[in-house]
Amino acid sequence: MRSCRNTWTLTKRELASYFASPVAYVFIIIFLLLSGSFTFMLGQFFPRGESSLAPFLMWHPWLYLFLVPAAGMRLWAEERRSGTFELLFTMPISPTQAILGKFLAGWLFLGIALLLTTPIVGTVEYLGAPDWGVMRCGYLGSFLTAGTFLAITSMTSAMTRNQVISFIVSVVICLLLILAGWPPITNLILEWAPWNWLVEAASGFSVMTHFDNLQRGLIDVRDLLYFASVMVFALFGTGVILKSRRSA
Amino acid sequence: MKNKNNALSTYLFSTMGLVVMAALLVALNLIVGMTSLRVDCTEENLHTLSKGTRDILAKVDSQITVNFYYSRDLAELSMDIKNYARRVEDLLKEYEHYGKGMVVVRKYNPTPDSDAEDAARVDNIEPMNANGLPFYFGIAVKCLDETQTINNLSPSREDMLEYDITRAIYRVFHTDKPRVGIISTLPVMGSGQQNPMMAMQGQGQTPPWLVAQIMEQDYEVEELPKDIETIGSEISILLLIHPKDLPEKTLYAIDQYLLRGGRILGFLDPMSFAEQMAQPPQMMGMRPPTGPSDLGPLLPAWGVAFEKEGDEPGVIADTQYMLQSPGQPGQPEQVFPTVLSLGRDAVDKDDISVSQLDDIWYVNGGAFTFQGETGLTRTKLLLSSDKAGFVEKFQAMNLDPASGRRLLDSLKTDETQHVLGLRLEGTFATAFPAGAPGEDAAAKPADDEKKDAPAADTGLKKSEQNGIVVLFGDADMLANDFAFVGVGGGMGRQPLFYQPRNDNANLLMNLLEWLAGDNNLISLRSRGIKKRPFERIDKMLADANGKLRAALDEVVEEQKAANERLQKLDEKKQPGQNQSWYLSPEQREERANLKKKVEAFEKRRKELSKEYRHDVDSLEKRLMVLNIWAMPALVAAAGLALAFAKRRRMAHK
Repeated sequence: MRSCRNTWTLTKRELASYFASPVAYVFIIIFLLLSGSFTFMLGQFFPRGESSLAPFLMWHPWLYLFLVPAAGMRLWAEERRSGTFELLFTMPISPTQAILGKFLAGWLFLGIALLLTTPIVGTVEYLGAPDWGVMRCGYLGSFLTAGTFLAITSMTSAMTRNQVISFIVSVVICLLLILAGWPPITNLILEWAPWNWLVEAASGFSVMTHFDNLQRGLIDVRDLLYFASVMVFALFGTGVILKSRRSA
Repeated sequence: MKNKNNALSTYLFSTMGLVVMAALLVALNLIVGMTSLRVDCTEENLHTLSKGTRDILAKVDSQITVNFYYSRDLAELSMDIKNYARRVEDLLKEYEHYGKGMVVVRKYNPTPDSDAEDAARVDNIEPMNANGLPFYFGIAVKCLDETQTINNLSPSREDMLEYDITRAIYRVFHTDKPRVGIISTLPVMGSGQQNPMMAMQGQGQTPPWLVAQIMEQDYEVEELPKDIETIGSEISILLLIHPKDLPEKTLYAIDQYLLRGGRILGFLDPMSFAEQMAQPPQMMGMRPPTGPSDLGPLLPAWGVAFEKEGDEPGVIADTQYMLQSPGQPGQPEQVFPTVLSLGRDAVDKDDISVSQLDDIWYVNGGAFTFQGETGLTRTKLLLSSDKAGFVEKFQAMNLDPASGRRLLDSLKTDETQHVLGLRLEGTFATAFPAGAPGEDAAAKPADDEKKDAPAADTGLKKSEQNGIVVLFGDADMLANDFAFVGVGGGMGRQPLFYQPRNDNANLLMNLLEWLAGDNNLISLRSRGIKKRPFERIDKMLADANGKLRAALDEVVEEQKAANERLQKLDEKKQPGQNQSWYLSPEQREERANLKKKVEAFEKRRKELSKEYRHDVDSLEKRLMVLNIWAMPALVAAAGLALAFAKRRRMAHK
């Protein structure tokens, strides 16, 4: 109970710190501008003539690919660079609480950015009769994808003091997670090793496969477990790395 | 204790711990991967295959490959097709999911001269033409050597997609032709031996009806004698076409066939026009109408009866659905109140066998009422409009416009939709509770008595297995003259070929196919898929279109009038000197004014065409700007406001 309170206290502090700097606003503005432009220009929202969020949600993994590492690269790298890293652990909180607190703050921040896209929901409702179940699932999928990428960024951020390196490494890992289920990549795997199970395993690691199901209005326990697993693993990895850095 | 915790933490948060954690998570994913716990959040349960499909997939014991061909790279594809292709892929994913490894979906993108195009050709997928380029959009279901193809997928048939795919899967496993037994008074299987009446008239042998010829492509069709005593289970479907005056023992055989889980498709008739026309002419060349086919005690046992006019089954006349054709110039249009042309409004939209049919002709047919409680599931497949009434068969015996007009004038309609086609499913009770009907000793050879004696004892009193009866109150709808139209051949000669006049043959084939399927296939219904267009934009476009048309009509009328005046003015021109044309100055001025007017109208017409999408375009622009810029602007404003507030607080301090 106390650990929860500690985590929540840190989460609130971190979340407030996001909004204390103009970076948060710039991030949100860029996210909203890009997601809006992609929806209407590349996603062909009007020519599709369909009351659904598909042309809006389809870009989210690609937007998160760059924006989430940008938002999360400072999670630990900044603490390490400015020397507040050790200070953090002198506070009466455990490393797990610190990791969770920082992660939750970042995730909530991304959630707030996502919530600010609701005018598109209003637009779709105004124009037609959308399926609200599918829309809710789509938002859930987008939020989980953001969390997954943030957890990975948290891990890469713990690896280095340099935020740029953290950014690049997390972009590469997230890109791999996106592309693992992409047909050109799976075809390449098939050419290299013609085993179907390998392709299936690779696709199973892809964020897209799991996000796609949610985007279609299908909540599958396997998809939820996938997102949870990647997050748990990445945050656990963050803990392992931080521990090794502290003892080093 | 603290040391122990520290030690555990040291082990846990190590590279080894990370590897163990990864292994644990992968194992957990693999274990959970074997389950299929999921929630379909869509309004129409789009991702939930119906129980019938799931049961069929559960029985699949060899690998099935579903090849989905879709030329996705074709630039000309409409959004409708693109969206639909995505939904097809979604549904195929569900087949893969419920197939539990036995169903593998492969996607192909056939482009000209590609391997995928070769594969499509091998699978008999026919390309459509998209601006001169081949567009492939179909599904091939393969199992061992068997292939079933669904060509030309179309969004208009989306509610049938699950049925089509499941049927294809079912068919790759069940390759035998089902057997259809026909009992009919009409020469459905051709005249000659079968129809002594026509032979007596010296009309020689005529070929089977076209519907029978079509049936023979997919079924083993066998004509059963009208005095048949037992109908075996080798008959998959019993097809009754105007089964008039059947002996009791045949009715008993039909009854017992149904109780053994048989499937009956009946086209009954209060008066058969085809039979009437086959009669020899009587007084004044008239052919009197013939009697009804009402299956004796069977209909009451099934809780169904013909609606009557007088003492006999009435012929339905429908002022809304009646067949009409334009008359001679200056004459009123020709009407045939007893020939119904039934469109989508008349059919059950949830029923797979009829929901896609656009035009069913119903010729001098009757209507049914349901009677009593039978415990059967009753479905109305085909309905008249609520502006229909009944006439006696003598009133309907002449199918000519004059009779039609007379009939229409005297017709009394009620505000009820009458049942023209129906389906009964469930546990039927026998129509012969006292057992097999007694034998006519004179008509029966003595040695048959032995056979019949045990039959009376072992006769079923109620269904062993669920039976199905589909009934229509018209048999003429299947006759060549009403279901097909001859093409070519010239006057007095046989047509070169026939083509369907309407959907009557499709109705028969759909029903046979549906009845021949297994129970799971039969249980499938149309999926109520809701299209979700931008209704507001569609309405705006429709309104704009209406306004544009009205405005255009006005402009075109005025333009036409101005042109006519201009032409008349030109006719008044006088040849002057030098062969030039002479107009008075007033005429010249009027002409110039009219020309200006015509040009102005032309300009206005172009402007109106541009204005057509104006409102929609401006709405789209407003929404786009609102979505892209409004929220970022608000966030920026909020950020700046907070920054100012903070600065002021700092300044105060």
